[in-house]
Amino acid sequence: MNLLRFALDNLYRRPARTALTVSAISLGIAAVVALTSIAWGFEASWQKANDARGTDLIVTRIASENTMPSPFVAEQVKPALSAIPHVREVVGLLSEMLTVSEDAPPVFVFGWAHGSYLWEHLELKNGRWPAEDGEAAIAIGSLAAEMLHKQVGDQIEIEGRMFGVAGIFESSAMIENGALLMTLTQMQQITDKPGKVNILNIKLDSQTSEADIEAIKAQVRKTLPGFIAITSGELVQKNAVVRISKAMSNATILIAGLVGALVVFNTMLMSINERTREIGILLALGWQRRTVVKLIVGESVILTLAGGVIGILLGILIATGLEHLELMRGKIAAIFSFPFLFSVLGLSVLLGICGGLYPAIKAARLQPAQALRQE
Amino acid sequence: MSIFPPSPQTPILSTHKLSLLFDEGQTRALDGVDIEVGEGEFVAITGPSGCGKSSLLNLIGTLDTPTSGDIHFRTQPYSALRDLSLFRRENIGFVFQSFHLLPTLSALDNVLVPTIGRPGDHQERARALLTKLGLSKRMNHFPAKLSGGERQRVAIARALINDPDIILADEPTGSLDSANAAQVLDVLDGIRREKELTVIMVTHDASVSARADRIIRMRDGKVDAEVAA
Amino acid sequence: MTMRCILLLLGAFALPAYAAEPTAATLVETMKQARLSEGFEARMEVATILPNGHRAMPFKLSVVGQIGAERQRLRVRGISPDKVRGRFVAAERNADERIRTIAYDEQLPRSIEKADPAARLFDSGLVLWDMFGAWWSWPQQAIEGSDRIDGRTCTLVRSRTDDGTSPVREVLSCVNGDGKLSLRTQLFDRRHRLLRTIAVKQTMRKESGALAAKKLTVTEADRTATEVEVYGGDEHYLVNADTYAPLDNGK
Repeated sequence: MNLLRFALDNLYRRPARTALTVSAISLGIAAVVALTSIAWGFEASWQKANDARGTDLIVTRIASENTMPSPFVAEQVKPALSAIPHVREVVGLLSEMLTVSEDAPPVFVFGWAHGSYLWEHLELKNGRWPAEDGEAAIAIGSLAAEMLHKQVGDQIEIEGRMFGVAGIFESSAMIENGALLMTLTQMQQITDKPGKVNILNIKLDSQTSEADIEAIKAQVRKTLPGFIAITSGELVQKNAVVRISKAMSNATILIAGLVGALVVFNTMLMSINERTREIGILLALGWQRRTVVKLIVGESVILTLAGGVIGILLGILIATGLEHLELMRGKIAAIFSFPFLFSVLGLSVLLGICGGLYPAIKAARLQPAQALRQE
Repeated sequence: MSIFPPSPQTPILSTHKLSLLFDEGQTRALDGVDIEVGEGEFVAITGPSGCGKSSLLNLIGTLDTPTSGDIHFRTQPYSALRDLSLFRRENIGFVFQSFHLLPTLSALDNVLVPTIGRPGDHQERARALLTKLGLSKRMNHFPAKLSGGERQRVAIARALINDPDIILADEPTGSLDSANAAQVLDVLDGIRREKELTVIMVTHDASVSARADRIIRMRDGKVDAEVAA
Repeated sequence: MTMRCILLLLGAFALPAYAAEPTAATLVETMKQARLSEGFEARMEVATILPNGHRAMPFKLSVVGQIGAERQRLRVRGISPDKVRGRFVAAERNADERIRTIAYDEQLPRSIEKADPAARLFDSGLVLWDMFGAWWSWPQQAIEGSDRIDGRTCTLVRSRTDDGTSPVREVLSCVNGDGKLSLRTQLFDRRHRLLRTIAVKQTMRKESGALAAKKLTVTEADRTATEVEVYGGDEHYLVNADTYAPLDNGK
């Protein structure tokens, strides 16, 4: 007989209350796990898309959230950028989210400068790349192929033009796997934006230092008004959806934490009120007050830890389920890192300690004689 | 083992002008009680209900603190004790009228409850105690499956598990029929003799108090009479 | 003194008290200025829902425009599906305030024909005439209080014309002054019958800080509703030399 077994036995004695408390905590933890893993996945996926492309810096128009799309003429900026020291390549990119099928949600359509380094990180699984700048051909990501039910040789209508599927590719970035890819010129034609791009990707030479990158950023700010040069990480940080999803996950952690602690607090307070006499007996039998504190905090930590473990499993299930939802496919890829899951377990333990500490101290302070008189 | 060694000159327990007020002074439960209990003595405290006998037992058991007066355990005054629960664990075993066993624990686990939080393996001693009390075949039974007498014997085993010097029993036979009551008293007395324990028992039953070495009769919070049984 | 004179006098005295409120003239001028553009392009998805709830196949179209003080030009191009693909409607409004409209097909270069600016575009509630916002240059403009739409306040402006050739004779707009956008526009015919209501459902911000509609609904008199969502475009569209060529050739 030890304290752990005794605590477990106490929880087992009130199965309904224990189950309810554990489910409340596990739901909160599940929400935390699902939202946070999706938010991180979202960020990581964007980051990955930029990193995988080998882009060191991105030059784009300064824009705030929910603004009119305002692509810019690449040639107005490109010569100035190319002249900056350490800049090896400046490549235009034009992208839009477009509906290409009646029965599939909108997909990302990318236009990349033909023959640029951007194409190099993709792995061609089937078929070939668009052979020349002017060819009305596209390559599609493996996930897009699956969602749109297209294979090499099929046709896809994009903004009223027919494109032949030349190849199917695989990327390490999920966003690209769900995207359609054509040459920049083709993209400019179908979206009626000749010469324009959303962003310019800059590849720097291998001698570039962090200080050089900062210098390039400053130079862009100074010489190209209205434009900014940022690293892919910073671009992702600025992404409205990434920001919203992170804010939401933080809010969920806060709310779930607070509610969880209150639920445990309430449960343990109820529990010690019901057990006043029992605690009196334990004290009479020679229990130390600190043993009583250990027992009550132990019980509440067992509750929250069980809720945490179930919540983590549930959260992983929810996030994975969402990933497979038709509407969400290719747009989210939850990331479950072990450090994060351990922190969630840590959060659960913290909830247990916070929620259980006051009831525990209250119980330990009971006057044994008074407690024994209680019915 | 006690941290305060016995000495033949001093009683194991003595109270000095012990008073206890309840309800913010409205009720006087004890009024200047002076008693002494010798090493290995079996003392019964009797009296009508409300006379203060249970209050006295609670004070001796450190479950309550007196309004005035003090208690000495051997030479040690209670008022100088720094950790009452530690003192209780080392020196005192409690037996209650309504047993107070935990229903979801087996007889053996109930006996082990006072050892929770103490290092060491107490299983063997618990088994030995239960065997000595005639419960060798009932160790893994839950309280609901035991008779009243068996339950009280489990409770006695529980009171003994920490090797106390004093057993405080509050109406230990109050919930038992006469046959079971007699059996429980036999067990208690036997253990007392074997382990040289001091037993202080509260009871209102004359046939029960007759088993004690000495009877302290109380009335209105005061000692009314002390008689040898 | 006639009643009218008294009211005018009272109005003149009351004016300084409402100096902070925009007058009809300044508000109308703001709206005219906000519309000016050297070139823009907007691609939108249009879905028509008939009064019986039947949802027609949605289609995409692109609108290219150039809005100057003297000359305003718009060109609508059907993107997809086949029903609208390659079909163009272009219109021009000059200083004389007449709107000249032509329709043609990409595949048939000689197909240019005159069209009615007040006609429904591709069987939807969209009307080219509305896109010109011609009522902002009508002579009769009056502020008629204010309203709240989706949490935004807006000023009610009634515009009237006596021009017998205009398909619309009266327009009641609810203009959000900060966003320089009419959140709700009601168009009436000469008998004051409501022709259609254009309600903005979602907005986006232009570089200038003014608002533009991202989603809007056109509800016609027979309760046919047309939902329009702008999904792509360019605020600084470079208008090609040949974008309006058919208009110029068709003169």
